[in-house]
Amino acid sequence: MSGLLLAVVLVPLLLAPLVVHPAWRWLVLIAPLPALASLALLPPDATLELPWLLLGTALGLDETTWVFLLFTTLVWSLAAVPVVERLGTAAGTGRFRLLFLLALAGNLWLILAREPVGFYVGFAIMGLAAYGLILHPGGLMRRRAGRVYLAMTLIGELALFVALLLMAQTQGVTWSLPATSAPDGTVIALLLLGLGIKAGLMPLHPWLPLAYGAAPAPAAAVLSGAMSKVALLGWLRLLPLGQVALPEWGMLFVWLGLVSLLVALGVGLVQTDPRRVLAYSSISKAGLFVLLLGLLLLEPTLTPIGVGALTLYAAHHALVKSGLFLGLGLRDLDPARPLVRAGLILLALALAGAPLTSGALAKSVAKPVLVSPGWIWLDLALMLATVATMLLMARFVWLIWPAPGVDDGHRGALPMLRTSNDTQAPVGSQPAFPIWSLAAWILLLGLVAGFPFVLGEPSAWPTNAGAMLIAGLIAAPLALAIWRRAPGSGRRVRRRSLGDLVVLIEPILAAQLWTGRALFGRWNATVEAARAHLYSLGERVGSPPPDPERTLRAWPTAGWLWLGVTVLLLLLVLVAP
Amino acid sequence: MKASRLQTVLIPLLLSAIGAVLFWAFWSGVTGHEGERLAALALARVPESGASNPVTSVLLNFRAYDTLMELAVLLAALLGIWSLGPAAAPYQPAALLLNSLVSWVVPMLIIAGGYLLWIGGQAPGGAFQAGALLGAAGVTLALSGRPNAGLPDESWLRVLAALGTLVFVLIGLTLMFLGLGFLTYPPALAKALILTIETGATLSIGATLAAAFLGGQPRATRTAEP
Amino acid sequence: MNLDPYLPLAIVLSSALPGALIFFLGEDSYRLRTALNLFGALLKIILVGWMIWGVFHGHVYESRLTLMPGLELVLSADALSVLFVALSTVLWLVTTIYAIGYLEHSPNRSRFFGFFSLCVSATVGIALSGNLMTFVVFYEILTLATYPLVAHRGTPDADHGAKVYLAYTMSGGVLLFVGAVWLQTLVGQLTFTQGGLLGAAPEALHGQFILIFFLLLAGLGVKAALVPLHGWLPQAMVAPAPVSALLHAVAVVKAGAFGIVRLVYDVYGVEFADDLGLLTVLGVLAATTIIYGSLKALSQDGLKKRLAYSTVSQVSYIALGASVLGPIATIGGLVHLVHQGIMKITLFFCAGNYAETLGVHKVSEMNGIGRRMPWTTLAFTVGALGMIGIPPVAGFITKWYLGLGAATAGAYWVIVVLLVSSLLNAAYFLPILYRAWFRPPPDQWPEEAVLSKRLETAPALLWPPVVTALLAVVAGLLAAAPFSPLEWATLIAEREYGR
Repeated sequence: MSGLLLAVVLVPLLLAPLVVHPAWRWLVLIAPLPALASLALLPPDATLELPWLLLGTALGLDETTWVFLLFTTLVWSLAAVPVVERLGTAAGTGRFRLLFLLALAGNLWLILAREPVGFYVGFAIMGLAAYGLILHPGGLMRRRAGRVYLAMTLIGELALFVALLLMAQTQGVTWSLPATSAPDGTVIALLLLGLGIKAGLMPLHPWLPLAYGAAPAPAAAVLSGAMSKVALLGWLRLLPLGQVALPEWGMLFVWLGLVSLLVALGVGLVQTDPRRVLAYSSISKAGLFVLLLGLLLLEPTLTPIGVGALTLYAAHHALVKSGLFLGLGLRDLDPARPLVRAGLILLALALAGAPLTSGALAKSVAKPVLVSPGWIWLDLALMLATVATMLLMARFVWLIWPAPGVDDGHRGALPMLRTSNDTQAPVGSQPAFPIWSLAAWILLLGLVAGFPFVLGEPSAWPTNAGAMLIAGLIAAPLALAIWRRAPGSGRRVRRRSLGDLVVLIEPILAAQLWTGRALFGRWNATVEAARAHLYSLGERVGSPPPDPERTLRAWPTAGWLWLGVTVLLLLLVLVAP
Repeated sequence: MKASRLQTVLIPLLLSAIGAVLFWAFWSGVTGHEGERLAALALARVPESGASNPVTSVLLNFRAYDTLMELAVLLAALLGIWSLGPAAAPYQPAALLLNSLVSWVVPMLIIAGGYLLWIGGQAPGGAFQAGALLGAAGVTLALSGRPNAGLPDESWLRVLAALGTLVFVLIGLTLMFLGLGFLTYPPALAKALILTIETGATLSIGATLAAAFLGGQPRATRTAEP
Repeated sequence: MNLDPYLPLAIVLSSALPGALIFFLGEDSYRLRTALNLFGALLKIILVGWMIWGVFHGHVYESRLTLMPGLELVLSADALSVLFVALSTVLWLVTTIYAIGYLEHSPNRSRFFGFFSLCVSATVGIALSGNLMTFVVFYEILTLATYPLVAHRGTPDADHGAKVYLAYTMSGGVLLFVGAVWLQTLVGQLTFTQGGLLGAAPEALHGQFILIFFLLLAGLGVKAALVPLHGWLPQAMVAPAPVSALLHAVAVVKAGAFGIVRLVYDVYGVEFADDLGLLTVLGVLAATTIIYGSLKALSQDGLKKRLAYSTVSQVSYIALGASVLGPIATIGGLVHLVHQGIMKITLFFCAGNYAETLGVHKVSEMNGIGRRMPWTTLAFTVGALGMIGIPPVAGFITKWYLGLGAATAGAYWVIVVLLVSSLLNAAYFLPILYRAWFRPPPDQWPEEAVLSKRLETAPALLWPPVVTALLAVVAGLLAAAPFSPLEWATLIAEREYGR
């Protein structure tokens, strides 16, 4: 029965080459099924050992794994529907489906992995395959987004590789996760770097807004829903949680988390593309995760509650975020559909943590950890974050509300991404609204709505009511004023140049590459000059004369030589014994 | 091509230096310390070597490896000559007098060569000497107007030219595989082995010298000569 | 009758004899030539399989040929020989099939295949050498056997490339020979002993040992393409693709790297070499080569030239593994011998396919080639990902072990070198993959030839890279399975360090 675990990873891998063919694209829907089956059928601690695979592989379930597998599989399954239905049979979609399944396989492998090599293999496959997902269906913007994504993912992967190496040094070639290693500063730093890139922690985040803005809806859904949670899983597995308290690292994590949490919200508020608003929301949530991890490092006794809270939060966030992106995808086809709009508002409320939603439940479960150190500034910051998140979601709703008759200029034009060579939103050329995708999306909505009622206690429902109120008080008059075009409300929001930090870094990197190339070219030129110099030295000596014996053949020379050699021989004969 | 100033000074200087070194080596070898001279050792072992002529026993047994290299050098020289292009046009066909002389001399040269080959084991003679005679026969034929110095056409000529080296190497390898060592003859078989090698070498040397005299790659033989 | 002493000799002869026969075949005896080639290859595989089984169970296979008393040619099989022999044999079979397809209508095929077989015999002889002199003899034979292959096309470029090749390798051979003779006069017969045989020598000789190490390293480093002795390798790319594949993956470059491994482990002994400080020098040279090769590869537009510089860089991983003290790094270096061979040969086969089928020689011409030749490009992708170190292709296993070995030995700079090298590899391989898969193809390829009606190119050209790419993935996936290259390398390391 544990063989089902192998099928979870193997089936998507085997189906991947088959789905390239347009006629077999529906196989994409089958790929996540073994995962669902194993969730349903296998005991919660099933394991499978394959000592002959790679360097010794082990796959298995435990509590955390079970939850991660659940929401990951849900996200992928529901995102698979628009992949089959909407992307259809256009050019390049075969490639997209292939990479979709490869990324799925990688994601599932790393979740189930119980040793570091398997985790890394899944991580690498997933990261690389996602590049192709972002790139579809082409265009200058997407290429740039893909480039940044790839460069940062590679760096992250290499950092993770070194971290795993260093951990293996003290524990042998393979060990069973979750790790119980002695805390080592270099390893923690590398894990922070490597997995932080994946999570989108500031300042490692520049790829995230670009990628989420560029990728097609199903890809963005899986990127934001499933793949970014991988970092959290990695941290839960590999960081030395629940052992010794690490005050310095804990504080570092807390501060980094706070910075991400607050700054991302600020940046997100001035965005004009709803996708990028969601991207910054993800970055801020990543900051929240890191903050929680930091608090756990400071206070190891909280670890069981903390891990549970993080897992729950991850599940909530995954479902909601992917739902938002899928909804945006549906909205592209028909902006005025009321069902889509309502669903998006529901999801936005859930993300903001409004009372009676899954967000509130997650927040309430995390509360014990968040208030544990009892720092007043932390509490204030968190309060601020909650309000800001609600404002951010208000901004999101504002952006997606296609109010007829309002000039686009006031609300902020949709970015160039939409207009030029974007085959995602050819309004008018889509024959029919994708029913199945809509159905899948509604299913997701149902899950999100039911989340708090199924999993939480009634006491958790009214959480965040106060924050909601404050946010509402700030946002509503603003919205009203802009809508009614009250004087002074038409201030233009300064457009953030697309790419955030990348805009700063790109010129620096370009300059370094240019210098490197120039220096290297200088080196090559020097080597060439030296070689030419050597050859010219040879020329100076000249090639030997073709007939060196000519001088020796001249009669006088020959005669003297003959005489000389004869005399020498005679001498030898006389002298030798 | 005009030789530069540097060359006219440098080359004689180098040559004199090498000559001085060689002279010193020879001098110290000849007038050097007492000790067991190699010649005495070799002379003592000549009876086991398979040939009673000390020169042959040194050439073909004690220093067989050097002789092998010499044959290889001859072969290489021939290849070098062949790479220069086709041979020069043959001499004009000989008139009656020269022709008849040649028809007497060449067979005698061949017989003399064979004799030298056989007698080389006991008296002065041997493969190189016999080969030289065969070569001379070939030169004679060339001078009297035969287009290819009487040699067979190219594919057979290649076999002949390589024969000496090939036989030598094969015998050496076989002895190595048999565990005796490369070119280490067992005393019982020494005479037969030396003779075999010498025969191959004779044919080879003769063919090589004659072909070298032609100065280039042999032309295809035309129809029969007069 | 005990056949054990004849087995190594038989393995060497199993390709030498058919090769010698092939020289005499006419150009048109296609069937006989192919039959001889394949017969030799299959016979060799059978014999090598027998030998692997025997060595695993501790049998001793040794052929001794006496040149003169005190100087013997010894062919013997220990675990390290078997690793290299197995690699050469399997890859030779694949390359033979590929070469038969590639040179379908070229002139001088008999000459080519004759020297081809001799080249493999020499490689196998190098692998099975039991002492340093035998190694030197076969090393020189390899030089002479590969020169005609490099010059095969006969164009002025080919002549020039072959001349450069010969100049470099002959000089290297001389240095190697001088070093070997010097060492032999000091210590006597230089039989390869696990754990090294110089450790017991008197202290006074240590200075000379250091000098000799550098001589030998220079001689071996020419073939192994250590910077600055690597200049011949990019020039030798004028040879036809099967030759490049052979040179880079199977024979020449590997022989140099194998020689360095033998030198450090079985002549000097890794701990003795470390005491003399030689490992540090080797490590620095290897690291320089790795980085330099990758940097040069970035600026090459010619596909084969880029792969050539990539080889320069990758083969030094083996030397890097040899330069770090500790069994794990040793395993990493040794297993890379096999992995790099398989991955590199895949890449060269694909480059040859592109050139033969579409006339594509440059990276800038490779837009959209994945659409036209999907299987070949898939094999290329696998090879490229393996070079970068992406799991589950075999290259990842090497990097894991090298990194782990370096961390265990405290040589953290090696990890930095590995990281930088991986990033550089990604920088010059990923753009090729992007072009191949994500760009639209041009309207017309430079020189399209229709080599097959149903497949994308001739079958003899298509199957070899697909098979070797599959092998690369399998070598990675099944690394912990018995008889995998990794397990064998672990066995060698155990025998070396356990003594």
